[in-house]
Amino acid sequence: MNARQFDALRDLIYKTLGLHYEDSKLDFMDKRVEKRLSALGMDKVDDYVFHLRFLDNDGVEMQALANLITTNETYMFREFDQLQAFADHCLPEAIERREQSGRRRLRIWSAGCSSGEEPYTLAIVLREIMHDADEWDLQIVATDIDEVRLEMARRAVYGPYAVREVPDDYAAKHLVPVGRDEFKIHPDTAKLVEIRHLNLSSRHEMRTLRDFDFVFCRNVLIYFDDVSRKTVVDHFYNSLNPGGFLYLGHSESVSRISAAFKIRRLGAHLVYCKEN
Amino acid sequence: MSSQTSLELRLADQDESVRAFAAEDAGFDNNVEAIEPLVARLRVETSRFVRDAIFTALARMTHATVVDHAVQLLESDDAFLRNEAVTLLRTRGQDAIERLIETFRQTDADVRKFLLDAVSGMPGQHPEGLLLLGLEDPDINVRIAAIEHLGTRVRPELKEQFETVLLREDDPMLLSTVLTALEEVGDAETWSIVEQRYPNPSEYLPFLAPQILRLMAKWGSYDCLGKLFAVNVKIRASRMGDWLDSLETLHDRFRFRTLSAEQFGTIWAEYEGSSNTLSQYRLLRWFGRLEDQPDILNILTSQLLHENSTVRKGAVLGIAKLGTAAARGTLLSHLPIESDPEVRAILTDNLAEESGAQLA
Amino acid sequence: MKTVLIVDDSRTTRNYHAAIISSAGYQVLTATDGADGLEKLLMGSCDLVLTDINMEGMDGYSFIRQIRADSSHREIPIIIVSTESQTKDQSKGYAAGANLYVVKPTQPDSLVSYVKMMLGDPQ
Repeated sequence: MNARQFDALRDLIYKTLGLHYEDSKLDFMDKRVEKRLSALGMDKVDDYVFHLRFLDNDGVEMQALANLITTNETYMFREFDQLQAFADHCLPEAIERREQSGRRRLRIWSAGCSSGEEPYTLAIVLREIMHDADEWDLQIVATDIDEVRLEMARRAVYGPYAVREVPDDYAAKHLVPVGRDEFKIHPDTAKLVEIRHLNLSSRHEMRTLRDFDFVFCRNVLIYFDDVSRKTVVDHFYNSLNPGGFLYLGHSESVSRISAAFKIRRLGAHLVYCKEN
Repeated sequence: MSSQTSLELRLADQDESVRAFAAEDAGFDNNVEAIEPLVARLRVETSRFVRDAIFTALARMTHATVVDHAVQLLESDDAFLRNEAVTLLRTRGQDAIERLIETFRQTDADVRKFLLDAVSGMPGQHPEGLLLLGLEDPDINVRIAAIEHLGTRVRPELKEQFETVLLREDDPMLLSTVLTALEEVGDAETWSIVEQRYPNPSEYLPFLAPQILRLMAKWGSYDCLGKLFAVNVKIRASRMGDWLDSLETLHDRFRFRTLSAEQFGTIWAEYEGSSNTLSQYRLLRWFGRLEDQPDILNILTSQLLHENSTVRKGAVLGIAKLGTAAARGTLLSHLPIESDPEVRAILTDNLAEESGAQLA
Repeated sequence: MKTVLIVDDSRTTRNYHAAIISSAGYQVLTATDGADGLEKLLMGSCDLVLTDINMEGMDGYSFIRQIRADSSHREIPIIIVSTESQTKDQSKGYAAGANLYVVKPTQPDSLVSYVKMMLGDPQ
C-alpha cells in the first residue's frame, strides 16, 4: 500500500466509521487490508478501495475491516490519556459547576459498558480525585445490551489481564484479592456503579436518561451505521447537562458524527462538550 | 388533535430536546405530511442540535418529496442548509437522479456544482449521466467537480475524454484534477501525451509533479529513470514520498540492479541532507534492491550506527534484502550492539528467516 | 517554518493547494472538514488557515466563527477559497471573520502571493 492509497482509504474510513488514522499507521493498515484482500480474492489495494467506496452498499465489508482495525479487548484504565484529561480537567470543572448550582450530585453514564471494566475504572478515579466523595451523591450508570456481559459486570470480579493497567496504589485500595489470581472491586467503590440493561438503539429508553455530567461511549459506535450512530449521539447530547462532556474512543471523531458538540482544548487534550 | 398539529406544536417548543425528538419521531413514523413542517422549521431553527435532528429525520423518510425539498434547499443562502441538502440527496440514490438531472439543466453554476457533489458518492451508473453533463459545462468549477468525481469512479472508457481535456485546457487547477483522474485510467498513450505536454522534468510544476511522476512510473519506458532524477531538486525534496513511490514502481517494473554513479550520488546527497527519518528509512530499505551497486553493503552498514532507530531499521532491512552471505554476516555482528528493542526484533526476524532456524 | 492549515472536502483541491503552498516553503496540514480543521488547529500550531465554505458537517462560516471565538486564535489570518463568487458570499465571509476571500479556481502564483501577504512574508 502506498501513501496515496492509504490516504484514500483513510478518508473513506473517516467518512464511514468516523475513525482517524495517522500517517504512522500505514503499515498497520497495510497488513489488515492484506487480510481482507486475501479473504475477498482480490490482489490490488485500488480495487479494494473502489469496492468499499461503490460496491459495499450495506456496509458489510467496511464492518469486516472495522473489526480488524479496532481492538475489542477491554481492561481497566484503558486509554489512559483520556482518563487523565477527565481527571485533571473535566472532572474539576464539572464539580465546580455542580457546586455553583448548589447540588452536590455527579452522574456519569458508561454506555456500552460490557463486563464493567470502564465504569469501575471511573468509580476508582472519582474516589481518588474527590477527597470529599462521601459528601456527594455520585452515580455511574453502566449500560449494555449484552446480558452475559452485564452479569459479569455485576459480579465485579476480574482476572490479572483486566487489572494489569491499574496503578499499584489504586489497586491496593480498590481491588480485593479473591481466589488464586482474581480481584473483586471493593464494595465502597463498586457501590457507585449501577448496572442496567439498555439498547442504545431504543430511542424511547434512551430519552429517559438525563442529567448527566459525563457520557463515556468508547469503541462502541463504530459498529453502527451513519444514521443510527448520529441518533445515538443526539441522545447523548440530550442526556448531558450544559457543559457536560462526551468521550468516544480516542480515534473516533465526535465532530464527524455531530456538530452540535463544542470542541475544546484542555491541557494537551481535545474534549467535546455540550454548550453551556 | 391531529398528529400534524401535534408535530408543529412540538417543533415550536422552547425546549430544544422536545423539538429534536419531535423530528426524530417524525422520521421514524415516515409520514409524508410531516415533511413540510420539518423543512419549514429548518429555515427558522437556531439550534444546531435540532437542525441536525431534522436532517436525520428527513434522511430516514422514504418519500420522493424529500428530494424536492432538498433540491430547493440547495438554493438557500444558508451554507449549512445547502451542505446538509447535498448530504441528504446523496442518501437518496437512484430515485433522485431524474429530478436532479432536470434541476441541473435549469439552475445556476453554484447549484450545478452542488448537484454533482450530491451524486458523487452514489453507486451505480445512473449518476454518471449527470457527471458527464458536468464535463461539458460552461462553468469551470462545475467541470472541475465533474472530472474529480468521475475520476474516482475509475471508468477506463473516459480516458480519451480526460486526455482531450488535458490537451485543451490551461487552467492549473483543472489540469491538476484531470491528471489525477488520468492516474487511475491512463495508459501508455496517456503517458506519451503527458510527456509531450511536459517534456522537461526540471520544469514540472509542484501541483502537477506528483501525478506526472506516478503516470511516468506506471507507463513510462526505462529511460524515465533518467527523467525521475532530472526532476527539480526542490520538488523532489518537497514531494519525496511521491518521488520514492515512483522510483519503487520503476524498479518493480524494470528490476534494475544499479543506478549510475551520478544518480546514486544524487540520491545519497538527498538521504544525507534529509531531516525526514521516514524518507531515510524508505531509501535505505530500497537500496537493498540495488544488488550490483558498487559498495552498497558498506554504505548500508555505515548507517547501522545512525542515531535514529527508524533509520537503523531501514538499514537492517536494506542489508537483509541484499541476501548475500556477507550481508547476513553484517547483521549477525550488529545484533549484539543494537540497543533498540524494535530494531533488534527486525534483526532477529530477518536472521531467523534466512537460516530457517531459531537464534539462540 | 510557518504552517498553513488547508481545509477542503475535495481531496484534489487539498492536494493542489498543499503542493503549491509547500513548494513556497511552508509546512502544510490538511483537514477534510471544519471539525477536523478545528481539531488540528487546537492541537497543532498553525499560522494561517485556508478554508473552503461548502463542506459537509461544519461549513466554512461556522468553522471561521468558532476559530474567532477561541481566544488563542482570534488573530490568525484566514483566507476563504470558494467557488461562490457573488458579493453577498464575500460579505458573509468577511462578516464571519475571514481576512480574504479568493474565488476558485485558484492560480498558483496568486495563492502564494496572498499567503505571503497574510503572513507578512516577503513576496
